[in-house]
Amino acid sequence: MTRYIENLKQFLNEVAEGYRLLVPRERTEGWFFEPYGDGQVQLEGYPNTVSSPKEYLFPQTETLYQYHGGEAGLEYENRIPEQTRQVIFGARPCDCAAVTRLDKVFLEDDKDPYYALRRENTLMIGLVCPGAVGPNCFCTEVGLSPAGSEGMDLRATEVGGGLVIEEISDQGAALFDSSSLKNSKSWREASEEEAAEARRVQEKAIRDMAPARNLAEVELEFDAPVWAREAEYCIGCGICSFLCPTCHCFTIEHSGSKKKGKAIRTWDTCQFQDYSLEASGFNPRPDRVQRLKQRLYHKFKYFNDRYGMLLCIGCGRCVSSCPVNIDIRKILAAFERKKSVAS
Amino acid sequence: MQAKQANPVQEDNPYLPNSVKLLEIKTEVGGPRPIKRLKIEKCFDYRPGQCAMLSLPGVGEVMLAISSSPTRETMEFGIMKAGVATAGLHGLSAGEYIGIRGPYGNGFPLDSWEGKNIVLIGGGIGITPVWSILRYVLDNRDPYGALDFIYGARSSADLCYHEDLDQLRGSKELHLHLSIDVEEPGWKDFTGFVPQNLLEVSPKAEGAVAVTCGPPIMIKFVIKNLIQLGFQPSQIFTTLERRMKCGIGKCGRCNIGDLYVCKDGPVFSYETLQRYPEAME
Repeated sequence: MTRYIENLKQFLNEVAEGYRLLVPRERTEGWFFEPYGDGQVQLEGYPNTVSSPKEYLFPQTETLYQYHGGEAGLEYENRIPEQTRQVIFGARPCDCAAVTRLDKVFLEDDKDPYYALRRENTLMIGLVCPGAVGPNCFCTEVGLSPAGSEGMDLRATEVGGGLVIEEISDQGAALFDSSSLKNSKSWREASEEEAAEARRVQEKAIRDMAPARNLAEVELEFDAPVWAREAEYCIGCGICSFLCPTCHCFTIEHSGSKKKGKAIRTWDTCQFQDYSLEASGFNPRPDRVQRLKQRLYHKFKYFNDRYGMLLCIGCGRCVSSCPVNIDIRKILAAFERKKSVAS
Repeated sequence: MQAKQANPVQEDNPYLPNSVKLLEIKTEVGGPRPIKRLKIEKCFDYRPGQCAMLSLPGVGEVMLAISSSPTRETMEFGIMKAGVATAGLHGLSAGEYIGIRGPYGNGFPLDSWEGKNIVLIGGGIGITPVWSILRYVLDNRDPYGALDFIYGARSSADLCYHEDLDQLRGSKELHLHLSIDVEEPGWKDFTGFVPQNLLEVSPKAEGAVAVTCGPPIMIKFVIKNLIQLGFQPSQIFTTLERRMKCGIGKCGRCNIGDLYVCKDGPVFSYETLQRYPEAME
């Protein structure tokens, strides 16, 4: 069923009765996903957030386990947290598509139990973009859409002061069966006109963001001069990775003593020199040219070879936040596959 | 439906180590680059070439090749003191406990080597995965052909497994070819680098596989010489090292192209590595 929500605040209040609810909210430094808490939500002028909701599935820092050492050996204690069911409301289509990339890494083969538990307990209510919502949006250039539904459980489109909500997954549909929402007046079935208007809003967004180029099909060259030219400015700060919704690399650090301690996982980045530095002193990627190349090769070749999708969702956060204006689109454009004459 | 319900799932956790007691820790090589041999009970089944993540409480973890053979009841590691974790392991005594998780990686395709001659070429601490093959083949001698063991270090004092090598010296089960880099009084075997010793030994390429592990520069020249001796890239195997944190292809740092050394390696044929220019730099 396609639904229409007239009173967003009431709807969110009802969701919050059964779930930990995360919503986009404006702060001095920009917009962030935060716990719904005081019940304020404002979608007018909502740009893309500074950071994606990735941290609610894969926190920047978490304890993996604790241990106690004694006469009889080491006792390890899992620290997989008890997970509250959560709803992430208002995530943009690119950030939702990013979650499907994280799923590939953390759920396939050896399942990561920390991520898996959060993921199983998370519903994504995506929000269609009215057009570009950030200064450097380029989702359509990497094969995604401002109205896409990848990674969403429900897709919301702003129509006539309310939201048209489409069911994308069974879990999304089941949200409306929860006790606080089942017989609620906060939603009703959408009229045909409302559903049609939602489609028009989506189509307009797609039209407005018609791609000028196709960065999804690039053929990177390992020895091209563009790598060294761009990397010359890189200061290795890693902000491109830390704000990237799909970057998933991490380190595991240990703290404590022989008797008691813990293992902590934190985000890490291939842009740091010591990321791949070995104890012997050998470093397979000792300079920033190789490190910049690694980041783009991972996103546009290695991940694609392994999982059949790009590890870039075109949100443009790395472009907007880079202190030295490195623009991955500019680097990729150097490798754009030439369109055949026939097409 | 009960919302806000806790889900205390405690299923298999690949990051969680098991506690294991050190049975023995023995100095193999002294000096500024010391190597110790660490023995524990066999914690899990494994294949030669596979690795395990050892952890030292409060210090950290380190991924190491398992140097023993799965045919034995104890597991061994040859550990060179290099970073904080290996330094910590060097400081332990028998009876103390460490953490272990694994096994990780693919291991050597020993089943497909049955009926073939095996040439093992190791240098320095790179001997550890090769040692696992040697021990495995000696315990399963029948299916395999001739066994050449070419092993070198900087000096005689830098060679590991002295006692074992002395025992193997007269054995009819293998041909032992030791070397040291620079001349020493009383040294009766080959003097020179491992790749030179390989040319001296000149193993026959036909019906053989060659495995080489050691410093990157040694591997490079060993492979060059193997090709010169007529070995095809598909007959040559090596192991690669990269920094690792997770061991299961998630933390990202050990990649070579689209391969993760922890998961898709550490054993690669030279045929595979030729497609990855950054692998052999």
